[in-house]
Amino acid sequence: MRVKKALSLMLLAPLAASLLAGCGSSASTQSSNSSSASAGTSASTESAATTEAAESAGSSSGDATEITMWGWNAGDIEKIFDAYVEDTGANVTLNYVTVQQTEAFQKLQTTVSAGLDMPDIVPSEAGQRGTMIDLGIWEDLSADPYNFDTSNIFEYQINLCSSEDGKLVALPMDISSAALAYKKALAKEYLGTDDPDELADMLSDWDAFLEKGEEVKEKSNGTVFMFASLTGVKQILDGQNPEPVITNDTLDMSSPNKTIETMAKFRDAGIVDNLDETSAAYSASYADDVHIFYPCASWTPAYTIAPNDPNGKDRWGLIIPPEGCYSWGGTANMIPSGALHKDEAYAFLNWMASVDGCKIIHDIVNWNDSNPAMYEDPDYAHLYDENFGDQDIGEILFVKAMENIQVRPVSKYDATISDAWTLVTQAMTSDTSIDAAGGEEMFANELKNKIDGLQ
Amino acid sequence: MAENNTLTLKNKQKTKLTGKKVWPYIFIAPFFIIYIAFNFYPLIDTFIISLYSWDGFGEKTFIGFENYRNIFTTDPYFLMSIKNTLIFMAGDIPVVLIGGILLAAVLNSKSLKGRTFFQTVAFLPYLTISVAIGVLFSLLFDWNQGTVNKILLQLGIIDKGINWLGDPKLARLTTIMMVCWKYIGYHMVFFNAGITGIDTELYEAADVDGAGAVTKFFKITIPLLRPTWEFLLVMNIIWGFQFFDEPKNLFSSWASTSGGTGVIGGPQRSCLTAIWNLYDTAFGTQMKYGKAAAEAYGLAIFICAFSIGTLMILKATRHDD
Repeated sequence: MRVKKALSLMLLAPLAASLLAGCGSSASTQSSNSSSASAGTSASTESAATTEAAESAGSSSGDATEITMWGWNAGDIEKIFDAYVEDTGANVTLNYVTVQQTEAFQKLQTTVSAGLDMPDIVPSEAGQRGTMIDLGIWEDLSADPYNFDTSNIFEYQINLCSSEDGKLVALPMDISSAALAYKKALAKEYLGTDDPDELADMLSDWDAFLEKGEEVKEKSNGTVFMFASLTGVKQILDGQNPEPVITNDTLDMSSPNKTIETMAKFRDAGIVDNLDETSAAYSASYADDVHIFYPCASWTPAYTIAPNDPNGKDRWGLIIPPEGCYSWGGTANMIPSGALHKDEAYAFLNWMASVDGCKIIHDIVNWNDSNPAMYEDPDYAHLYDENFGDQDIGEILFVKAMENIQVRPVSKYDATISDAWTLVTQAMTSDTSIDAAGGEEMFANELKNKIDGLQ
Repeated sequence: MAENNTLTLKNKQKTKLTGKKVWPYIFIAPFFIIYIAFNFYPLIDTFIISLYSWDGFGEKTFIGFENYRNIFTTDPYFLMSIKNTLIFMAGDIPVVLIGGILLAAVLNSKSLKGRTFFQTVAFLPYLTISVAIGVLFSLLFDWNQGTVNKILLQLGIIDKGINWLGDPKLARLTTIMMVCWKYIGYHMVFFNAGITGIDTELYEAADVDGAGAVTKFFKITIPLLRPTWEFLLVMNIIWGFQFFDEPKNLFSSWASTSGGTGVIGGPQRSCLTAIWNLYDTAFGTQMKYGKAAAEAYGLAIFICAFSIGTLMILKATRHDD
């Protein structure tokens, strides 16, 4: 009887162990099986060439080829795809599979592990891209047969889309340059001006920013803050410090230390509120009259400020942050080597990056495209948003930001580094006894705990 | 002659297997086929994976029991996650068991009107999906705009908001409260069924003897519900080690409109449960399938040890009775 009981309890093991069910399939099943369609995709930004490539890739047989694409923006992509088919005459259809942004990587992992068919196009968000690229399962788009013309994307994006051995494996869908948004009424009341140029002069570096923040705190009796969350501070500072955190399995804390020290200074000075960036309170803060500054990428006005500040018309302004612009977020698409319709997928992505495609995309979904040639047209380089009144925020995001924007090359450890940042930022927000040294130690320990052999 | 008898016997046996008696085997075959395909095979395969260094994509490298050595000696998260899980179990199991039994006793009182209504209300949290509960509690216990803090501030109990979800200890407490809220009603249903099965003559006899409600509860209800709470205790230990979705949803980034991510394991990993750690190891920030497989086996060892230990204690106390 006792033996039976013990045996029955031992059967509990599958409850835990079978959690990894499905992980056992060999990854070798995802061998390359490219479409029978002829490649023929020439590297050219000329619209005729792009069209020819698209037709060539998509019309090798009578039946339309179905391109499977993952992503989190079905509405826009489907419109763009329809325009692509109409513009190029490519004989393709789109099977768009909606995937949560934060779950794209896990879905990819399980697809590969289970030996399922790979999609033809996989999107990657900036924070996960380095880890995804490192998997080594992507087509090199800068090599034959694709030979993507890298002049079709901004130079800074090449670092964000390339593997550590220099292969371009992702094509950006939009630009990710970022600046500093502010609420004009609060700036006028507490900083004395809401003019972007005057503000930029006033906040020339982070020390000046801290000094002004202390004045704001004093004037408002501590009720108004420069930032709503320490995460916002981290986002900008880390973006401005492009030195790699890990090189050849060696941890270089110089960049994180610089960021953490400034974060601690701002927090201790009481110029940053304690909102958690992932909380509803933080989203609601965009509409309040308590927090002045927010990090602002080119996608932020439409996707973050507009929905969270419905009465924000002409309430906002944009400046270059102290010590320059940075890159934040952005999506890039990759083609798995095991995809069934790589040529058709590339033809579509190449069209999206071309001048011809960018013009159409801008017209139908108003994206801030990644082709620098588009911004040579002064009319195109303008960006107006009703929440920013009559300020041309494109002048900062598309022109001035590009003059000196620097980015940290993506790394296979990006997901781990990103998690360490979240942990440290949250801990420093919640526990003011954690000073800069404590934050730095926590950051380094987290990475060492999770990355084997890190020096 | 003896050979003939043996042959006859064998033929009879064959006839039996191909006759009516084959049907039971056919009927139970689906279970075994499914069990082998979806439980036994993964069990073996997981063990094999646990002997490799593998990220789920590239080549596997055989490393023997290195993953096991790692999780028990080097990696700080596995044992920390087990400790966190035990803290949650120590916090919520007594509450859901005692709360469930008290709730069942109260809601079984004949003097209570609308018993069915109250029983349904008590059971409703269990029907709520974990994601909704995570969202609900993260709103209720938000540091700045949470309802709980607002009420406490208005009542003058506190003079500034409590960081329920940011402080490691309070985050654990909030998680335990969330679990208790969800599962007390579920436990009540079991105890309710148990109480309904107790012969009313026992209570009538106790009444005749002059026993009060408390005496009847402790002398009749509790002892006769022993099989129920024993079952629930063992199951709670097993469920406790599988605790995952509630804390993950509580600390997820569902409200972020700027691509923010929640902290894995809550503030300073204080709510990192064993399964959450396993999930993060395999599918999150580490991508170490081999190590995650070793963690699955390590967890299975803990589940077995605690379940066997509990059963032994229960058996010993039953003997004392």
